[in-house]
Formats: sequence, structure tokens, C-alpha cells
Amino acid sequence: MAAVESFMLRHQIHFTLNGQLLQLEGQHAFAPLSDTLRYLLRKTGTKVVCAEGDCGACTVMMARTQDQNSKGQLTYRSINSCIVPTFLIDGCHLVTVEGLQEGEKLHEIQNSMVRNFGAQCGFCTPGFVMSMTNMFEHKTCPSTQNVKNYLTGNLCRCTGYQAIIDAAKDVDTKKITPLAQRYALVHETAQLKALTQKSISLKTDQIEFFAPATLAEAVDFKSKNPDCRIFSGATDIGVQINKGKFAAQKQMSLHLISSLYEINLQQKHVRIGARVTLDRLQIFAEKHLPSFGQFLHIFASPQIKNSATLVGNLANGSPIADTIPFLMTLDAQVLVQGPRGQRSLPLKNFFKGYKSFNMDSDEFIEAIAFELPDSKNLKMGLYKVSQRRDLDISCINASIWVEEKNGQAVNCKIAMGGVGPTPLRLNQVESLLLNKKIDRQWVDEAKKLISQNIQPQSDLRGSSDFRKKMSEQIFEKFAKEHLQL
Amino acid sequence: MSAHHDSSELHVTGSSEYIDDRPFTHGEVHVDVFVSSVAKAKIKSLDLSLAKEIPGILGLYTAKDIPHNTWGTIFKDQPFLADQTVEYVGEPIVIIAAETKQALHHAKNKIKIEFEYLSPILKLDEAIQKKEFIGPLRKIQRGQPDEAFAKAEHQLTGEIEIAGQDHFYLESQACIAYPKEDGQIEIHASSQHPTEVQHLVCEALGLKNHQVVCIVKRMGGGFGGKESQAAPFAVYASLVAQKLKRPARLILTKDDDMLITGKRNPFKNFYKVGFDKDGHILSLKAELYSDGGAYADLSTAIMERAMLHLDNAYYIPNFFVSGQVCKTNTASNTAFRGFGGPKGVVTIENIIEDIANFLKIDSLVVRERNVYKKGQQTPYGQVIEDDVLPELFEKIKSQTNYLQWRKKVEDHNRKNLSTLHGLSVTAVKFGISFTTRFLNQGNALVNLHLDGTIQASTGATEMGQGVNTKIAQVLADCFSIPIKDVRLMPTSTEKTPNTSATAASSGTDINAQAALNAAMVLKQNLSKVAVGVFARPESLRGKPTAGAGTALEIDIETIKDYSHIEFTNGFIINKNNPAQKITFADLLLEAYLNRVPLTSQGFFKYPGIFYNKETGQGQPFFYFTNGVAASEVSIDRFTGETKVLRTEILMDLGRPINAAIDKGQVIGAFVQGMGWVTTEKLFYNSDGRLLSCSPSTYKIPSIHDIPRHLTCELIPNSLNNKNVKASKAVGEPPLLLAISVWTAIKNALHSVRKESNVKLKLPATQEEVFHHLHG
Repeated sequence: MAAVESFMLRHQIHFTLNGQLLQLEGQHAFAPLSDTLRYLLRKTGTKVVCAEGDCGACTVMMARTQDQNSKGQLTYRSINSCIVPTFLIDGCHLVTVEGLQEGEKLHEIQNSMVRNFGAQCGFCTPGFVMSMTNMFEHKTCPSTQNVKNYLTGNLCRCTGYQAIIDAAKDVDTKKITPLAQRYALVHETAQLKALTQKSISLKTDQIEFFAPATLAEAVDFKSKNPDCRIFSGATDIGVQINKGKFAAQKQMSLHLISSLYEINLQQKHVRIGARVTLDRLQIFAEKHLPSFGQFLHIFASPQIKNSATLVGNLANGSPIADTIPFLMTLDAQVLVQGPRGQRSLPLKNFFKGYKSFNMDSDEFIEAIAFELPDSKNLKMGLYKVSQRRDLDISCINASIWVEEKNGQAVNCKIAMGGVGPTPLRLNQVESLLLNKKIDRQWVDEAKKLISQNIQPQSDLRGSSDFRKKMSEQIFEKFAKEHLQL
Repeated sequence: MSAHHDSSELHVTGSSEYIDDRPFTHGEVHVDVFVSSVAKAKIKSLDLSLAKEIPGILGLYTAKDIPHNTWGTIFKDQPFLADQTVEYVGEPIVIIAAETKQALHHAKNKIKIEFEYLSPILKLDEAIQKKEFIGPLRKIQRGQPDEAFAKAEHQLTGEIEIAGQDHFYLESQACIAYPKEDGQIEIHASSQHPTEVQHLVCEALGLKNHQVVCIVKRMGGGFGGKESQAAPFAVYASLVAQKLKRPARLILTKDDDMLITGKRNPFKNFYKVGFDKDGHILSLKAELYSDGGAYADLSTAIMERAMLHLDNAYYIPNFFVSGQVCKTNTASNTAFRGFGGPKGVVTIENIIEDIANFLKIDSLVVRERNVYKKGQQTPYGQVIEDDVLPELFEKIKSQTNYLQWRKKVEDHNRKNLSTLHGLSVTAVKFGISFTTRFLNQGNALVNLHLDGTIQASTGATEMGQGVNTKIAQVLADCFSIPIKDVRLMPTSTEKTPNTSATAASSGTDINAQAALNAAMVLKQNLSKVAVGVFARPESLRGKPTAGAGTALEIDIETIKDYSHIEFTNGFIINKNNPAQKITFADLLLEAYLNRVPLTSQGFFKYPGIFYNKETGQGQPFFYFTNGVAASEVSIDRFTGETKVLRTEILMDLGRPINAAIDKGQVIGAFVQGMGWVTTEKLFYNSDGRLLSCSPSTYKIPSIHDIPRHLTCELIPNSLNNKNVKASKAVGEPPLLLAISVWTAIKNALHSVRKESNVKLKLPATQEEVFHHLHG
């Protein structure tokens, strides 16, 4: 048994950096990727400013070998290396800003940044160059709007962005070789794929880490170690680690389990696996849930969406997780996995309190499931109120659905976040509004009921009073813009 | 085509070296500081024994370990390390040195400190009320404001509350101190002021100036935040280097940087204004109060500049302003792009917006009626030397088709139920010079090498603004050689001592001129060498003759006329006989072989400036940099979310040395200013701890926040001849044009709140705007 185990287990992580296969073990695997790059591997072009995934100075490109498309091609995506524990890039190809240049020659994106004066102090510059690389990897036409969307996750304090936008638009796309061609890595890809069939076990003085290759092993580890913390994209845990606020001794990552990367659509039934990133969800939603797809545009940055998962957004338990109100109005189900098998729990009752769930400690979330709504007569409004429109943690978010028939509300769903310790589905408000005549009085009644049924706190993102009044105004906006009242 | 930034190819490839990119040297240690968790208290006890036991901890140092523990750029009132008392949350108390970052982190948690809590003053209002003041009350007066109020048809009184702003330079405070032989220390710092770093390290540690060198290669942004406040960190690292005899690296995290270092000063300004029915301002009285934080730092100078910019672009015949810095128990506030200027300017622009709303006339009309004309004097007695300001207003009006634009905005607000638009034009007249005369000097070292390349060093520090590129251009132009042959070396106190901070927008003005002055001396000598070279046969050129001593040495002392020598396209030619020419490199070799110096130190000071801080009169500024901006905003009527739809900027930058770099400065400063007036809100809890100390909670503008349509034009000004190459300083002035966004928001709110003037706070965050929309 021991022999089998050692055969099926790795005690290292494996990845490539700018084309070179590397392996790391022990403490190094737990350092933030940016530290590994800067201090261990001396790739100091990757900068760290905020260490919380908000500024993009640490942006690098990553292709997961599990994540090949139907033609077998790898997709490179941008991520924030500062909040990714190095072990999460196990099985990936990495390209840093140093990997763009071909010999002495500048990459076309780099050239364009020079000729358009896109760099001033230069500290954010490598991050912008990498985010532009991400945009051109996706073969996106560099319109002003697309450029802004792709560069949302990068802060610059010097240029006022105009020159950077000009640089992105001025790139001669004919001169760009996709990274998958630039770094063919056929042999390395095969090697990594073989290696990632094996689970990983890493131990240091403080941490016991396990990355199971199968769901069964995951269930087993979680049931034996109910206090273990599960890493998804680590876009929140990574921040906690950097700020010295995370000390879980048992850790598990599900990144080796291929089935969790699936988005399953059968008729109207959708199932989103635990490893499905928000970026892939956005692409799916743009096709099947357009208003949600649109909303995901102002949700986080490309780098975060390329790492963070929908399940992670839920499992993190934040009362202002931006996807949750919409999922609540969808009547989504949470599929949890554990030693007693899989269970399906309604999302709207899933929250027990601040950052806690109605789920047993030996269980974990495997997927989220829902049905696509019949949206013919359905008016859907999704809202996010934050200090800054983009890339900001919400003060309040909301999803409001109303279906009108013969002047009456035949369907009414309201969910809000940031108005209490957990996201809320406002069932009581809904029942009082349902099957009533939709008119000005109905709107005023709804506003009154909403503010009566929420208990927002005051914090640096907004006072309680502001949140109450804002929740009313959100409904007012919905009524004006969707119901013409 | 403007020359590219001299580091741009390094920046885009990630190969520019910042402090923390330097390779770790043998034995290098990590340094961090343990800071106060309370705003005001006596330190009852400090127990480091548990922290000392953490494996990897090499040293813990307190105030007792610093020979001279007091510093301050203007008033020496601040301890490097808090000793008996703490004055703000984040004030450094203990320096920790360790083998690893992890050990530092553990040690911080093991330091035991007991406080006797004292009641802090956390709000500017309270400090004003309790008269907790720093420095003297300053005044500027002209005419008889009170008598003029009595004659004015209308009067308005009011106040404006202006919050602080964090610099959010991307590279947080950083330095490495390398111990050298004989007690010397070499410091590499991310600092705008290497001379002050050198001097303070010496003072603090009891070293002589000739034992310490501070070198600044570049900063990942400064914006004023590394003018005075980089120095304490250099002292901490140097102390460790001195004690342990090992290199010591101190790199702040963004969170700690925001917690520990000071911000743009918050202000609260009270005013009374008298005006006639047409909006002519007849009299203004204002009291300015700033929040200096716990210590003086540069706050009194900042206040001075606020007072000197209260008039902004407008002639106010009867004028009184007083300014007082107040003390609160928050981080010591400091320089930030614009210094006090923005706080003075936003006050008068706010007043004008209110006058316009009161009289129901367009605010641009009020501005035009009051704009300075050539020959008029400022309240502090400086004469306005041109009509650039009225011309700028005229041009922005015609260029934007302003009247139609205004009508469109009004129509929109009548018809659209979802959004509310606002439009406003504001100006800037920014005084160039440090208001403290002796700071307006600089020196430069220009070294010519025999292969025809140049290494130049100046007191200017490069923080992205392109000062090194501009200096290189000026030098390349002087000798007519390619810019690639000129390299600006890291700023070093060994090469250019006794310099001022790269601040007050004056970096290029002072340092490019100092470098040019050095170069002109060299050029004159080289011209004389060329006269000597051309006077003898070509066969005598080069090494052999000099080595063999077969030719007479060229003695430049004897050569008086060199007017026929011209430097052109890499050659030096005899205009009288164009066939005679020599390459720059060959001429340098001739100069060397004939024992003519190829190195020169240049000096420059702004001429003719003086300002008496006590009377508030003088000629504090060498000249003004002027500009105007028109901005239109759109506000969501329900949520208060604000977008800037369009901004058009016009700037007078004389004859720019590098127009592309200058435009980058204009737009960058404008967007940074937009952050100050809209989304950047510092949030403190009731104990005085800054909670918004990272980008997840502190919102500088993102790429989506810039105006949807943004143009920037540099108007031609061939009349300006005052400054280096007839250029004008650019660093700070355009930041103040972002005030047009704030006044446009105010204009939008005025359109729905017609009855009275909206008391809009700055920043106009979404919550602030929402409050005015929905009470």
C-alpha cells in the first residue's frame, strides 16, 4: 500500500517558466508566486505593490495543461501572481515579462508602449504589458472599450492611462505570435500532464497540504481533516495569507481534479464545477444569461476572473459576493460532496450566518446548479454599487426580477448583498408584492418594504443609512428603467 | 517627434532596477518597524524580550539607540522613533532587523507594549476649536476687505471641507543601507531628496556628511510623498547597517506605507465674498485651516502656497487670507503634487460656482469677468506679466463651442430622468519656485568621455516625470550629438551635493539649466580647442604628436575669438571654411591631449525672487504656469454614480523641451487630481486608525474612470523666454485642473437644488453625491 501511495504521490510541484520545466518543494511551494519569481528565480520584472490582487503590477501569463480546448490548444490567461500560492501553478506554463522579448528585440507590445509614452515611473508597466498580452492572446480587437476592459485590473498612478490606451490600440497585431506558438512546449506539456495524474502531498513545519488527483481522495481527505481549508483561485485566501491573517495548518487544493473544470449544460439544466473560473463563466453567461454576462463585466478584473471561481465566490461566504444575489434569484442549488455522498441544497437557505453555511464540516462544495430562466417577459435588473465603478468591492449589490402580466406582478424575486451578515433573498418582501398591480404605489411600497427588511452595517464602504436609502434607490432605478414607472 | 523616456525600454521589459530589485548581497538583513496601535498615549512599558527570542531576529532598536532622535524639515519636532509618547496610529516605535521576513512578522506580534491612553484629537474641526496649532498664523492682505463688503451688492459666506489624499506611488517607501569601511554608509533610497536623506542619517546616527552617500537611481512614483518622508526609513535601515555591520533592506508593504506615512493635508476653509450683480468679485476674506497631522513636516510651507493660490486666476481688489496649520493625532501630513495650491484654488473656484448659482449666470461668465489681465497685481504684490489667462478662457470657449455645449447639458437635464449632467470650466495659475528662496538652487556635473559620450549627474531625481530625458535632450542639443550618447547617472550626494528636493515642479527648470550651464563652459573650451585644431595641419591631430611632444600644446587661454566654430550633427565645423571639421569624439580627444578639462560643475538659481513670509508680500514666483480645463460629468440620479464624459485641457507650457512627456504629465496629473476630488476617500475608524490602507479599500482612478473623451492641447507661447529653453514647469499645475470635475458635479447638483448653494464636500464620493440627491 505504501509503495502504491508513493508511486501515485508527488512531493513537489511542477511547472514551466518561460519555457523551462521547473520543480519546487517544501516551503517554496507555499510562497506567493510573485515572491518565488522575484526572490528565488530572480525574475524581478514582476512587481508587487498591493499584494492583494488589486493593482496588477504582478501580472503574469499562465496556461493550465488541463485546460486545453477541443483542438488541443492551450489558452494563456493573465493572473495576479502576488496572491497565488506557488503550489496552485502546479501543472501550468508560466510566462513573465522577461519571457516576451525575443533576444534583444522588444515584443511589439513593448515597442508600442515605448513609442506611445505609455511608461512613466515604470513600476506598473510590466503588469500592463502582460495584461495587453492577455488581450491579444484572446484575439480581441483593441477598441477603446475592449482595452479598458482588459486593463481594468491594472492601476497606474502616473500616466492617467491615456498613453497606455493609445499604446494598446497602436499595437500591430500582425507582429504578435501567440504564446502557445512562441513556446510550443509539446514535450513539457506531455510531461506535466503525466505528472498531474498524481496527487501532491507537501509538508512543512506548519502546513500539511494535499492536492488530490481524484474526487474520492478529496472526499477522504476532507472527512479525515474537517478543519482543512480548500483553495480555489485563492483570490481571497491569498490576500489573507499576505496580510498574516491566514493560518490553516491543513490545506487542500482541487486543481488536479479534471471533472471540476466542467460547465455542464443539458436542456435548461446548468452545472458549474468548483474549478470553473469566472472568466469561463462569463463567456458561458454572455451566451446563455446575457444580463448576468453583462454584469460580470464589471465584476473584478481579468486577472481575478482568470483565477477566481464561482464556487469560491460562494464558499468565501462574503455578504457582498457579487454573484450571489443573482444566483439566489435563479433559485440555484448548491451541490455538496462528502462521506455520505452528494447533497443538493437550496442556495437561498445555504447561509447560516456571517461566513458560515448550512453544510457539515466534513463536506465541501462540488458545484452549483440552476435552470436557465425563461426570460421572455422577465425584467431582470442587476446592480452593484461601489465607490468606484470597476474593480471595487461592493457596498451593495442586488438582483431584481419582475414579470408583469396584465399589469400585475406574477413573478417577483429580490436578492441583495451588503445589507446584513449574509446575502439575502427578500422572501417576505416578494410575497407582499406578488400578484399586486404594478403602479407607482406598488413601487413605493416595495421600497419601503426593502428598507424595513434589511439591517445593513456601517463600514468604510458605506454607512447603514446610506445603504438603506441606496437599496430603495436601486429599486427606484429598476422601476424607472425596466417598468417605466 | 519627442525623445522617448530614457528608461522606457527598460520599463517595458521589466529590467529597470528599483530598490527591491537589487540582488541580495552577502549577509543582507530585512528591516521593518513596529508601530503604534493607538492615536495618543504615554508608553508605560515596552518589553522586547519575547521578540528577541524569535529565531532569526538580529536586533530590536528603540529611541534610545538613536543618538539624535529628532527631525523635521522646517521645525525639528518629530522623533524618528516614538519615545515617551505616541502621537498617531502607525507611528514607528521599534526598528526590527531579522534574517527573514517571517521572523520580522513573528517578532512584531511578540512585542509587548503598555499604553496609558490619552484622548486624541482626530478631527480638524476639534483642533481648530481647541486651538491646537502648529507654527505661526500667516496673513496676506490687500485693500480694505471689510469696507468693500459694505459696498458690495451681494455677499455670500460659506465653508469648504477638503479631505486628504494618499500618494499611492506604486513603489512603497524603500531603501537599502550598505555599511562601508571606516563607518561610512551608502544608502540607496527611493527618495525625492537624497541630500536630506544624507543629512538626516548623519544627524541621527552622529556621522559626518563625508561618511554618508545617498544614491537615487529612480523611484516608482513620488508625487511629494518621498520629499521629506523617505528620510526616516533611510535612518532606520542605516541604523541597522551601522549596528550589525551588514547591509539592511527596508521595503514597506503598501498597507504599512499608507498607515505610517502622511498624506495631502485636509483643509477646512471659511470665507466671505462680496460681489456685484454682474459677478465681479469686490472683496474676499478667508480663513484657511489645515490638518498637519501629528508633526509639522512641510505643512507650514504647504499652507503658504495655499494662501498664495487662493486668488488663482482672478483679480480680487480687496483681499484677506489667513492660514493656520493645526495638529491632530494622525500621520504627519506632507507634500503632495500641488502642495497647498489645490486647496487654495478649489476654494475660490467653489466660491465662483456659488456666485454663478446665486446670480443665475454661467460660471464661465463669472470667471471671465474676474480673470487677471496683464499688469494687474496679485494680493501679494507680484505683477501679472501677460494675458495668457484671458486668452486661454477665450480659446476653450470657442474650441469647445461652449454655449452650445451648455445648452445641450441644460436640455439633457430637462429631458433625461436617469442621469444628470454638469459642466464647468476652471483655470490654474500656478506659481513656479519654492516659496522658500534658498531652496531655488541646484547643481549639476557634466563629464565628457573620450568616445564622445556624456555622463551627467544632477540633483534631480527621476520618478517617472522624465526629468532625466529632458536634461539629456538639453545636453545633446547643446553639443549637437545624438541623445543616445548622453546618459543621466543616478542622483548621488557625492556628485551633486546640497541640492533641494525634486519638488515644486522645478526639477527640470533648475537642474536642466544647471546642467546646461556646466555644458556651456565645456562647449566654450571645446570651441577654443577647435580653433586651435583648425589652425594647424590635420596631420598633427591625434595621439602620436602629443605622446612624442612634437607639436606645441593648444593653449585655450590665448584663444579669444571662437565665434566661427559651430557644433552641428555630431561635428564641429569652421563656419568660415566648412571643409574643416572634426567629430565630437575626436575633438574631445584633442582637448584631452591638450590638457583641457572635460568635466564641469554647473549651478543655477531662479533669479529675482523674494517673499517675506511675515508681511505676505513679495515676488515669490519666477513665473506662472497657466491652463484651463472644461469638464462634463454625468450623475446617475438614483445611485449618485458619477462618470466624467468629456474633458478638454489647454495648457501653456512655453516651448516644451519634450511635448510628449509634458502631455503625459498633464494627463497624469489631471487624472490623479480627479481621484482627489472624486473617489479617493481616506476612512478612519473612531480610534484614528486608517482603515482604507490598500487599493481594495482606497480607490485611485482606474482605467475606466478617466474622461470618456479627453483631449490635451499645449498652446503655442513664443513670448515666454524666462526659463530653460523657454519651457515651463509642468509637474503640478495640471493636477489643479481636475477641480473642473468637482465643480461640474456641483453644477449638476445645482441644477436640481435650485434654492440654495450645495455644500459639496471634497472628495465628491458616490455617498456624498447620493446624500445631496436624496438627503
